[in-house]
Amino acid sequence: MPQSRPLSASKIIDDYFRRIGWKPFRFQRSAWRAYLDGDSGLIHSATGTGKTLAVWMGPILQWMRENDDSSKWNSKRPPAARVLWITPLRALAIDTENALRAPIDALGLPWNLESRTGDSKASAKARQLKRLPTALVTTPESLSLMLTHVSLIPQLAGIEAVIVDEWHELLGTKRGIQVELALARLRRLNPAIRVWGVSATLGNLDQAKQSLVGAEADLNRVRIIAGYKKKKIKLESLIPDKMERFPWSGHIGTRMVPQVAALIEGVSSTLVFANTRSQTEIWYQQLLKARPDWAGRIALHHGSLDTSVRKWVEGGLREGSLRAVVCTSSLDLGVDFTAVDLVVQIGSPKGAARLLQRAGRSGHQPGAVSRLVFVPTNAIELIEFAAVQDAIAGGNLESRPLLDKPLDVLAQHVVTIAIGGGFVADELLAEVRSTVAYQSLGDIEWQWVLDFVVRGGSSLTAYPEFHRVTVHDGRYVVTERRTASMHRMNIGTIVSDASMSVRFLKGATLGTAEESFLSKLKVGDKFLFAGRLVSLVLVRDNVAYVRKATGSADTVPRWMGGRMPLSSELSAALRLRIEQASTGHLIGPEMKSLRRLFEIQRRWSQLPRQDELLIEQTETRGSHQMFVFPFEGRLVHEGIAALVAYRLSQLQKTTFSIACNDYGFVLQSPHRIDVGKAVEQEVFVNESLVSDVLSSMNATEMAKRQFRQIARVAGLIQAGYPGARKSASHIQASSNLFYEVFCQYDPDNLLLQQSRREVLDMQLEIERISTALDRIQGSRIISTSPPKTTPLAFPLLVDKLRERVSSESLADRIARLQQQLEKAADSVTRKARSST
Amino acid sequence: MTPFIDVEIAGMAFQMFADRGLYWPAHRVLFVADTHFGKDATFRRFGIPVPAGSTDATLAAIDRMIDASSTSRLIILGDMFHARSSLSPTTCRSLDAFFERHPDMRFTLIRGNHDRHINSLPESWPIDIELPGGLIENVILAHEPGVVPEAAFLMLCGHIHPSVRVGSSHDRLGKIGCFWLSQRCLVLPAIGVFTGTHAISPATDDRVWLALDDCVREYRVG
Repeated sequence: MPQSRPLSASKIIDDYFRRIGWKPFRFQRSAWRAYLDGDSGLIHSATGTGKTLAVWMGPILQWMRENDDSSKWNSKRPPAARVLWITPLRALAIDTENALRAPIDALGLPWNLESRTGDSKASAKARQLKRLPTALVTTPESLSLMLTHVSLIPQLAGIEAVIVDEWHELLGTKRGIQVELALARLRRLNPAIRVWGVSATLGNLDQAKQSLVGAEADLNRVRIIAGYKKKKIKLESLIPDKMERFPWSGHIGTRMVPQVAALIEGVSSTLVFANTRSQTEIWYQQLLKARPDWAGRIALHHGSLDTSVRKWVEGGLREGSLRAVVCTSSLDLGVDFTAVDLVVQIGSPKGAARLLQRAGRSGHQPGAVSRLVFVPTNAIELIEFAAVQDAIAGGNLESRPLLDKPLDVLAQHVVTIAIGGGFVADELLAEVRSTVAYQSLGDIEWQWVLDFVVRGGSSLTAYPEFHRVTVHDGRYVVTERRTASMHRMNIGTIVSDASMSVRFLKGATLGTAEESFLSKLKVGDKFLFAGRLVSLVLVRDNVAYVRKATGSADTVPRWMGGRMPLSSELSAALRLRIEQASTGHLIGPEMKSLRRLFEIQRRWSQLPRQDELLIEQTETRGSHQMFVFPFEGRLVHEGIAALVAYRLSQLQKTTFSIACNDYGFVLQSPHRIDVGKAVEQEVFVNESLVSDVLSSMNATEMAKRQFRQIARVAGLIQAGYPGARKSASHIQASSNLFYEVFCQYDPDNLLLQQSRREVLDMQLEIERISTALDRIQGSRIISTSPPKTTPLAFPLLVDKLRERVSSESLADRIARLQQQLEKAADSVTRKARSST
Repeated sequence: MTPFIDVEIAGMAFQMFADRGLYWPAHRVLFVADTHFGKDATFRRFGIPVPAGSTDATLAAIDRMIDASSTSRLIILGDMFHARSSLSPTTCRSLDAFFERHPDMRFTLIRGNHDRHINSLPESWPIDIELPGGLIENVILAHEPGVVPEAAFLMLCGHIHPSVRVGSSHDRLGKIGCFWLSQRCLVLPAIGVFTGTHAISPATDDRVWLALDDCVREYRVG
């Protein structure tokens, strides 16, 4: 009977699952059904279980239905390209390929499966240009690159499904937008294409789904499927043994090493997450010091380590031969390590979704419990952890805010399409507007992007002799091979800081460190790197050569990379927890352990309720501090602090130095601020926010920094690739230089405007600042003058990362610096004299 | 008016301009280094959209210094043009106009590493090309800095595009282009508007003058 044939395909799948000892979950079955109906969708779950097979078996079932006579399957003649699998990390491509291969082999499918990433061999890539495999694992960058090859277009038109893995990592980034644009192109080539995403659970799943399938998709044909929900998660905090001695500030937390070592001892395999790469180096050393016998059985893993080192660590985790790995977000993604049965989070996770995902890295056997232990690095962080549990329990997971039509990514995409066969302006505009990111793209912006790639800039400015894209009979094309190959070399939106590789004299590469760090070292300086103590021998040809060292480190590399601010969901939960504490309701072990700290805070000052804003004023060593606690996250505080300092300095001539953290900020000045008067004079109001923020911060400097990425994406800076010949040096210029030249000779350039907008939206989170100011305006101000620095204020007082608000000229500032230097030099000489 | 300061180096009097040139009154010579004319055109030629205007701005800076001094001779200490493709019609038109503005001026280019394509300069341009190593009094003219022979008082050169990072842990002002005197070798800042800089680490007995927007200011090292 013909009807039984589809069933037999599912039966084969059931058999397959039985053989690997699993039973398909209900969500997997619904994903397969939806796929077979021709639908698209997004599968999400906080912890990963079975998501890969949920999306992967759909295309396989479809093919088996179409080819139900297995005697005709011939692995020498694999089917034409059907599935594209997009992974955000090329390091994951091989793992992904292995995971996808297992069912193909077990079912005896005649499919061929290959990867195509920046790491693939040139010969394999050339072969793929002639004929793509049935299923291809690739990255966003490689996908865009494929669109530049005219010969691939007919094959790409035959693609039945695109699957985007870890979509939450891409969403809200320029790489994500690059994917959206590529998906729009594939949809145009094959309107019936199915697009499936796999994501962690987010606050804005609808937006995540819509970005994937485009603004014009028929939403009746797009599913959101929740993954396995029954996973049990256990979250707990490691309360310090001697709470009364535990510091109020700090962010390394190595005081907790003995307790953490004891925890690791009690289980078979642990992932220890730290927030920064330097923190992993320090914790790894300290754990080894506490348990010297663990040498070789614990390891560290972060993004700056050499690939071979990371591969070795990942292998050890997979086999379960490593007792513990200290890592950064570098192990947030990727194939699951079934042996891991405990996750330790050192320091604040800064977000609920992130913590949940990390917890899910443990307890991977079906039925096992995911267990995460939180280790505070200072006392206040325990409140954050109490708050994070509230956010998770309430389902208040963070959203990934979307980016709105970045023109640099669009300019890059337009050139990509012009190389890959060219386009007609109106058709491409319709295609671009079908994405969520560019659905509101205006005609003027579109025209500007076309002018940018054809003439260099708007038609009013002079860009003589410029050639990138040319127009032939209304068709935009790239004719020069040099332009095409330069563009291919520079496709992508990832911009990394200038880095150098760190290598032993004898040859082995340890990893990379930022040039800015290495350039400050002197030969012989000892530093911790890749879990070893090394000393610098010499720097040559962008390589820092080191040798093993003994003794103690002079320094730990500091890799840039933003410190994450507290999410707004977590901030809200935190304010609620503080309010509970203000009324004496201490719920949970974390809050109870802080009883004494809260008492001190209340005795010396106050604990604010959610509708109150606490301001503390103190005086130490002749300078006045004004501490303000909005509990809104660091970036918001940076903005508000600069704003308030600027507005106050307009009222009263003074200089402020500013420090911020996730709870509040401090303004330090030689004069005491009258808080009542300041509030009266509206230093906290929302009015003229943008213009005041822009004049208060060194917004030009920030825009210049932001412009770096934009210049790179829009094709101004040619990054080339490692090992490329240096012949292009005559067209190298720094982004600063570009920024200045544009400001001077083409001030209306939309890329400049974009960099300013990105500073406001992404760096300063202007929306959050505005919401916070609205909240503050509705709050009661509590102004106190504590006798000593309070527990809440203390971390701000000792923070050394300070900004200044100043209106002096460059020359004046240099003169002052010079004076300071001379004073310092004088005092050194005086000391030298007095000691003799 | 373009601001300048008087400085005495090796017993000779010079004027340092905020517009990044060095004037030697005794010989009525104005020195500039690394003009990199037409660099913007080269970028555009290679498909990188850089607006035009930087070549004219560099020439305007030279004009200002000529107007503020009694210059009778302009010496470019190397890297006059960025690359062969810099000699685009727009760049050449700007240079034509510059030479026409100064009919009585003597122009000299000390050949630099970017000046390989110098043979293709328009013949109508009244500029002499000299190899590095020539002398005026006991001052050596060069493009790249080098060891100054005992007999010479001073070497004037460019090439490095020197700048210093100015700032403390509290206040960062970034890189600022400078004149750099080290071991009797005076390196001029690059005058080209569309040029980058290289941060130097001056030794304690070196001297450094910052070329700021509105003044020149000596920056004491260490």
